[in-house]
Amino acid sequence: MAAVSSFRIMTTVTKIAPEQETPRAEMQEVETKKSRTRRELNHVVSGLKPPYSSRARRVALYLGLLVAVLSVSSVVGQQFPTSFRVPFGSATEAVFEWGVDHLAWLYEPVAESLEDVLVSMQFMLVDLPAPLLALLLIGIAYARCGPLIAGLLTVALGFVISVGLWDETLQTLVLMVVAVVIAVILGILIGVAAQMNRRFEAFVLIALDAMQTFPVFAYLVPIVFIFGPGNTGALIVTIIWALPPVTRMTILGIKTVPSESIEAATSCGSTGWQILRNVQIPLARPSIMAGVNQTVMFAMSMAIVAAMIGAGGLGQSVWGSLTRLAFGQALEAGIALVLFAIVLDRVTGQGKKSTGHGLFSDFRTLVTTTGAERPALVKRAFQQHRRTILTAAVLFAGTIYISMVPALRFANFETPPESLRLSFADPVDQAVDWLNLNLGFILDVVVDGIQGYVLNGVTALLLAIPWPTVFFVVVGASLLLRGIRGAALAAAGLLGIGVLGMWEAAAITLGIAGAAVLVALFIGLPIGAVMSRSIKLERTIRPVLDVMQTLPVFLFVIPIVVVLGTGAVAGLLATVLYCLPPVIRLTNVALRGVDSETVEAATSTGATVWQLLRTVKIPLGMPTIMIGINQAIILSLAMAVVSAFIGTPGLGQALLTGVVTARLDLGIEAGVAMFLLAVVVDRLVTGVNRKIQAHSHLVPA
Amino acid sequence: MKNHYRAASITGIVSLAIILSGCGAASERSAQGPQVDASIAPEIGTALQKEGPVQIIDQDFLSASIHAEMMAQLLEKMGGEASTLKIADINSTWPAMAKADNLVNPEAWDIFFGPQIEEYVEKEKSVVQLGTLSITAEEGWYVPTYVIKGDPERGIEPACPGLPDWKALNDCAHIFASPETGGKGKYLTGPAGWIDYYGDAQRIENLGLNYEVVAAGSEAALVAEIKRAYDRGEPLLSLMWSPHFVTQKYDLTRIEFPPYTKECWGTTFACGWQDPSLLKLAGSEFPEKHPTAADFVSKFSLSDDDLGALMVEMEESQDAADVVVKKWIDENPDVWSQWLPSVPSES
Amino acid sequence: MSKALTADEAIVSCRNLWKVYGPDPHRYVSAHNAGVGALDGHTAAVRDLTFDVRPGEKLVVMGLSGSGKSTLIRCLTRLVEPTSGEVIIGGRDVTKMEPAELRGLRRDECSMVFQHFGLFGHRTVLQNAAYGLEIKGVSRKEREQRARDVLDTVGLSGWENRYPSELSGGMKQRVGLARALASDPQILFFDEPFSALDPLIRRDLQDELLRLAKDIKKTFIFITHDMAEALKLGDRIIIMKDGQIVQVGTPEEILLHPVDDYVRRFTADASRAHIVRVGTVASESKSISVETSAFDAVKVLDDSGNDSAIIVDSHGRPLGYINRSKLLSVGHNDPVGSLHVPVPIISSDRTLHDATNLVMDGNNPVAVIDSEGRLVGVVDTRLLLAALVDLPDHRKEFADLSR
Repeated sequence: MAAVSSFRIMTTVTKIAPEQETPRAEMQEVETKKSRTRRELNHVVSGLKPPYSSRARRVALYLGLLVAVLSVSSVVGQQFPTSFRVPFGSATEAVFEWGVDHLAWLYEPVAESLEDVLVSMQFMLVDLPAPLLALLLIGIAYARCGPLIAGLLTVALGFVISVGLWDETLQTLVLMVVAVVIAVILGILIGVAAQMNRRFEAFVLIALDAMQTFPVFAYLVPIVFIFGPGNTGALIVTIIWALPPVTRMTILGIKTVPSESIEAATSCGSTGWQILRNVQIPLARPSIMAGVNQTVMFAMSMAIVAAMIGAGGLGQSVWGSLTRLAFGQALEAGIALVLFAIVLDRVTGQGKKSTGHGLFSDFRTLVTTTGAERPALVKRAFQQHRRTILTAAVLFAGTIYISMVPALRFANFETPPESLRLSFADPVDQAVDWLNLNLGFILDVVVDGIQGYVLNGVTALLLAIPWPTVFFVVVGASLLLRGIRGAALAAAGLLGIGVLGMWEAAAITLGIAGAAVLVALFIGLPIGAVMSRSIKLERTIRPVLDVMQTLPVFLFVIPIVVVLGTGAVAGLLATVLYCLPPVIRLTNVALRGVDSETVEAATSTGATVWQLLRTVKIPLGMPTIMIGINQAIILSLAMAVVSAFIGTPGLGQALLTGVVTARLDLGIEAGVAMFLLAVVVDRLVTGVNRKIQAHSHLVPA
Repeated sequence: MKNHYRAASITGIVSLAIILSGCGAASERSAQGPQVDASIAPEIGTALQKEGPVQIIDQDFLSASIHAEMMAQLLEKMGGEASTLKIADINSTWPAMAKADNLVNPEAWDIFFGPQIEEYVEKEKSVVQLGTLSITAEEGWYVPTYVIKGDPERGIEPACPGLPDWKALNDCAHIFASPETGGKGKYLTGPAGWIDYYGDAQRIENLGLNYEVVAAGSEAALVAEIKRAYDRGEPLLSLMWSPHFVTQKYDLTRIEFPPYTKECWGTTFACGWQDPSLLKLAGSEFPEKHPTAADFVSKFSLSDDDLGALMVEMEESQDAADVVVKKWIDENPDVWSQWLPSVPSES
Repeated sequence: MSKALTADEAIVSCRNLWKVYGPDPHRYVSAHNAGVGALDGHTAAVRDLTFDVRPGEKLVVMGLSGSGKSTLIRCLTRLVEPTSGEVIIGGRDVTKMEPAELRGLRRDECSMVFQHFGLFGHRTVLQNAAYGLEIKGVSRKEREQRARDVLDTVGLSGWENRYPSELSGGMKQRVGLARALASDPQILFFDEPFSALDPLIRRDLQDELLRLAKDIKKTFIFITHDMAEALKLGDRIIIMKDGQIVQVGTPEEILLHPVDDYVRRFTADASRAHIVRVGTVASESKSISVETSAFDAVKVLDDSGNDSAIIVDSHGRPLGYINRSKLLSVGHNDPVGSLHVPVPIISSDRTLHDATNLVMDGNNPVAVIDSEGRLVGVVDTRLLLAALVDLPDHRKEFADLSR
């Protein structure tokens, strides 16, 4: 799997058990989990390493190859030759223009019906009395998810009302709801279809990888060409971005339905369709719901990008305020986005522990039951559905009350009464100014130091390495790590970047991303390790990470400029902030996740905390930590576009130039190059990860 | 498992009530809508109504927002139906107008859009120009005025008194230098895409300047950099233009390059900017389908002073454009009454 | 030892069944059949199996992990597609069935119980039990009634509206059992159904299964890796290793005549008391007809070298026990019928466990009879103990002792 978001891996690691193949399942029984972990422990504690008889010879071989490559490289030259350049972008542009002209019959109806849906939903919401809408939302949240989330929603709504963002919030919510509903329906359909056909599944997985790795900015302008600006285009962009998680989790969910349940249904004589409907989809539901949850979060994260092509709402408020340096207003809208992201996360991500019956099935039981059991049943039903009944009653009364009191009926939430008015503008602007005026000079020294002594050097170094050297080293590494196929993929990817004319930009992007990841590891690994040792700390750090991941990136990117100035250092800092959470999270998960019996075994031999960490927890948690590192790398590459907004050079800048100058070809070329770079890097890192796993014997060969 | 039934049932129960109350609210609301000004000839309203709703693009920078709001509000005042549509990515405005027959861009800077004008207006003819705004616009390399004259109040000495003449630039290169540019002076532009467009690299080379262009990455970042430097009282040489809230808010001075010629721009770039024209644009079907609105759009033109005042007002009050514009419309009927359209004779 | 049955006699019958995993399973099988030797890169989970199952029989397939037993049971209803061979159920070849026919077979004739229960977590106990009927299109009322009945049979009344997550492991498997029974199949497949359960619960469910088997007269095919379970439940046992049959036989045959060390290692610790039948260990006893005179009887004893005998009636049914001293104490011509002391009787198909009390109650041996009541032999304390602790060749030893 290539580019993956933090959410996806988190769930894969923590929630989903590995699937088993039937023939192997029995053999795995032989070696029970415990005996396996013991063996690992023995291995780790005794520090034995498998002997490498031919190691020296191999090292010599590699060194020889390296020397050869270097000498070839120095002859060929440093930069990828421009004569290899392939006008991929302009070709694509031509195809695209043909499509725009000739396929209108295909996309026009889609665009129009989507717009109709959006417009009618927006009208519906606008026509509802605002207090009633608020009451309704809170009521549904209460009935469905309980008082805590209803309370959270109340706070969120109260916040947006008092900062005067009611209309923007509604616009964003409508866009999100429509995008999520469409993405979920599409995603589940695609997921189910993929489950039925292996070839289609392979295709879908590649397409999903591409959708997640291909930078959104590269297709912003084409989308506007096809669907027009405003909400429809934004909707499409949001759907494209939010589709992968639910699709993946549907596929995964259906796959991980216990084979026995399917066999049980099969052995009862179910048809394939019956199995799908009665067993696979219901049992995959938790997984699908997790996917829906991620889809919602992904959609929310697109709010600002959607604003760039004309979607109204909170994203628009953030971006608009940032461009006029109204950081306080931007923060207000940003907080509103975070609050609603949290509410939506809790609403969709709630673990369904209750096995209580549905209202309908209880009602049915009530109707069909007679006699002595009935009163008890009625009582139980009332108790179980107390919340629902209560909410319905309150909502009904509230509706009547609101429609009778004109002041409420025509209440305008857009401009809050002065007494409720909340504004962050002054404190935030003052804080930014204070930072700029008081810390700015110190930070300047730091920034200039990093720029002058580190980044300039790294960039110079990266650009000084001749391209054949990079090519052969990467392809060789892929050959070792992933075999012929991996090497072919890496070669194709690197050549692709070269012929697109993006070699230099890719090198710079990679350098900055690599530096950012190193810094993130330097900070994140210790924090994760400390966090794994204390539940209290975990409880404190977790929400911080949540907010870091939900806050729109742009929100902190532009203020960084005021303090640090534009350029690669600011971009580096933003990238570090962005890719830090997964490192911390997965380090924590990895160190906590080590089998408790294994830890006990080590402790009982008298290992100190540090020894335990070094000899047991880190080696056993390494695969998970590596997943975190991989995520950090992919995120840092994805961040290239955002950091380009504050003047960081590289592929992101090329892409942005394509967007700014409306050059579709340049945008596409830079986008494809970013995709290729991400794929090559991802495959390499997962290859390293696999090697580490194989080396540690954690996975049976 | 079946919690969704709960939500569904609640929704069901209240939906009836919603429909009842909601319908009532809707009708009364629209009755509350913007008052049609009695001083305006009612035929205009009738004609506008007949032509259908119009959308004005709000490109989401200060002056553009003001223009868009004002057009939309005036159209409503005349009895028409109009709304604004925010499109922050200005390049997207072109395909948008080309696709729609009711979309107007009230403020398109011609110098931003060379290729688009060529393609959409001249070649495809899918976008038409409805005149220009009478705003005096300028663009170029700017420095804070205190760099030239100093600012005794803030204790800033003039760092480069030879400016704004461009010939003084080389003497001051060191004060604009940064670690990224080494010993050379730094000239900051917006997105990297603008460098080629404005020929900054050629200009530097052909005027023999000891400078290097650096991209801030976006307009937001550029503006943030100007704020950063200005608040600290540091020198900064950067791209800017006017009307822009930065040139309203901060005291900046434009570098005087050799004057613009057609021969220089696009070749050596060894000259300054052509003064931009602010075009009013719409889809090519707009004048035909919305003749009255189109006439209004072509007559619409805010003066420099009015626009400047509105921008300052917006910055200082932190109010949104619609509030500020509404106030202005109420106070200045004599100005906008000159823009009232004539109703096409055949209708 | 069981002989092969004809196809009509057997309810399930496997002929040369293969299941091979690998790149080219069919070539692997044909290579094997041609005697070319094994192809690399393949795993044969089931190799060339042939066996029959009698109607109403409880057949246990026993083997260790990886022996192919789970694959085998899945091949029988094509949950796993066999590579080659035939599976004949009720006279029809399952391997050649069209999907619809196969579904029909699964719906009406076979059911399966799974190791990890295979319950549907999103359905209530009742809905789980009624699943097979729902699939068949039985009306809600009818299928729920039937499911309630079956749940009652497995002891789960009152739990109908719970969800599987609310049940203990044992109860879950009862639901699995109920689901299998609900559609009233002829054949029940059990895939290690009790191995995930605690020992006590496991024993309860085993007993329950035996009780059920007595009541419902169905054919059971039962997979286990637990020899004790196999011996306890099976009418016949197939022992598998590496996809092949090592031995087929009744529990007693397996226990007393393991074909090789592999089987012997399994049976070494098995408790014999409940498996070995009295008839198997009974020693031949001299029988003396009830009409025989005391004098003749002594002569018979002398000839045979025994000290005692069982007196039988004209049909050979045991009437009592008599020994030499008793015979010598009476008149020569008295018929022995009046002299004997009553003798406890046990049927030859009862287990050693059943015989224990009888043997320990008196000093005299216990007469073992066949199904028609005729004497087949006797057991006594020594014999019983020797059999229980599995003295090598105990029957011969005993014969020596008693001489």
